[in-house]
Amino acid sequence: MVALLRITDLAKAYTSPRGDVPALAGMFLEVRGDEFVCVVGPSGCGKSTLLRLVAGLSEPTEGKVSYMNWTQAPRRAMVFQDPGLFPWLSVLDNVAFGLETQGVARDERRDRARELLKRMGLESFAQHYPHELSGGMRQKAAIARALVVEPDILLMDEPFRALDAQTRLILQEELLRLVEERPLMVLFVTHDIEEAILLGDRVVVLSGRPAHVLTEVIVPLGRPRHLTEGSHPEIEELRWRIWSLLKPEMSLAPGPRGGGA
Amino acid sequence: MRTRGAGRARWLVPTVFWVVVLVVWEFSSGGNVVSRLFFPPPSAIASTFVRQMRNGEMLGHLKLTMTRLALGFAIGGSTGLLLGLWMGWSRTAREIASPVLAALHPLPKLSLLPLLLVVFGLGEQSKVVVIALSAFFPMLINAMAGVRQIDDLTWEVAEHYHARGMTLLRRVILPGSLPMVLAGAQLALNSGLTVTVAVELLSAQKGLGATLWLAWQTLRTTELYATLFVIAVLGVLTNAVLGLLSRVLIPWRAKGEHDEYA
Repeated sequence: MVALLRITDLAKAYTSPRGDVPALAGMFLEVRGDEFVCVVGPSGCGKSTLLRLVAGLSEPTEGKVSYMNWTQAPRRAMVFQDPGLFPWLSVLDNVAFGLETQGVARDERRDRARELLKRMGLESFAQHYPHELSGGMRQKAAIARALVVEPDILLMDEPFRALDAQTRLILQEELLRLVEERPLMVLFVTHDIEEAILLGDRVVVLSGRPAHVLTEVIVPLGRPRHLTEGSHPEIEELRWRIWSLLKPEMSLAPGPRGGGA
Repeated sequence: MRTRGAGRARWLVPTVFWVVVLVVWEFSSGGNVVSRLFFPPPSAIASTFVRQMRNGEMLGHLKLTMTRLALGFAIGGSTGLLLGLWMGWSRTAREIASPVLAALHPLPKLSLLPLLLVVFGLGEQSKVVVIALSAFFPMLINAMAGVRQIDDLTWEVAEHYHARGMTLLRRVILPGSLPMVLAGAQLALNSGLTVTVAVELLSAQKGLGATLWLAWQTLRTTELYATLFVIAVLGVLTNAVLGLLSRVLIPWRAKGEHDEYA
């Protein structure tokens, strides 16, 4: 039996003074426990809402998120768009925060956090405050904070959005390495089609608001994956296929759904 | 070379200016233009100050004033801090307490002194209570605002990792509100000092405020100036201590981001 995350007829609407604003409607999705799934969609379509629902940070209006065939309730850890490190804690204590709230003793949680920082090449910054780090290092520390609790499901909300292209590539490789070391489920939300293809086993394409699943694409790249190994022609083709699906969903683009009248 | 010269002039010019002012004051006092009663020469003020320090009179008053301020600040500041943190964190607490606060906060705390005199008598209690009240509100309001300005993402991260109880207090609420709490402590101390001196002017036999009043009644203006000098130093020192404290307690703030207290 394969461990699964199953999303059934999920809907979420936000209430506003001018009526309800639907973010998600009728979403169905199944993800295996060892799968890296990237979610792409037009900006503002409700991708983040999906993650927040899975993380349990918000409650669905309809439908449900269920977990099948897990030996215990899967642990979920989220990496936010902005790192969201506490400015008053050292990098080490930030990374250990998730362990601290679980009641892990001080020495043990620091050892575990230090171990992970070492694996990520951040150990010399353990005692620094977040403001002393570059944006890339900060996001790396935020990833460490999520990984240190040894989650079964890693939720990532456009974690590399604010980084420059080179730093992003380095962190993408780093993430692949970490994930391939210890299999876990990753739900990775991005607006960047190329990023989705480079990282994911599968790319889920969402419609415009209210978001539902338009289609799913299997990425024909194996693991372990090396991003810098040169270009793959099939990626180019895949990219255009996803783009052609997404384009009519963008409210800016001319077309039947947009403002092309 | 030019910048070095400019750097020196930065402290040189103001110093020379104020030395000149003091010298002009010294030699014009007692003449036809400047009344010796209103503006006694700095040397006379200094010698009064030295005499009062030597015979222990000034230190006794200073000690008493500082004790009242410290007691009032400790009582009013700590209750204000606790209630403020709680109100910042809990919406229910805010909804319960804010109507009362809205009514009491604008009331000049000194105007409660007569009532407090009736309730607590003429002794130290009524004085400390009114000082505590004056420290309570700035502390409360800043602590509350300090918790409320902690950003959404920080709360979300705390919630996501199931932080609660002491961990939430120690890792999120206290450090997140600390900069504003310290600013509140400074406001509370300043308003506490104001009320301390005012209370002493009105109803004390001893203390710096009482000394001021006695000096005016006996027209000993050198004593007046000497006491004012001590009060000013007290005010400057409390602010300097808090400024230092905020530098020590908030090491995570980027350089230059510290508020200037001193």
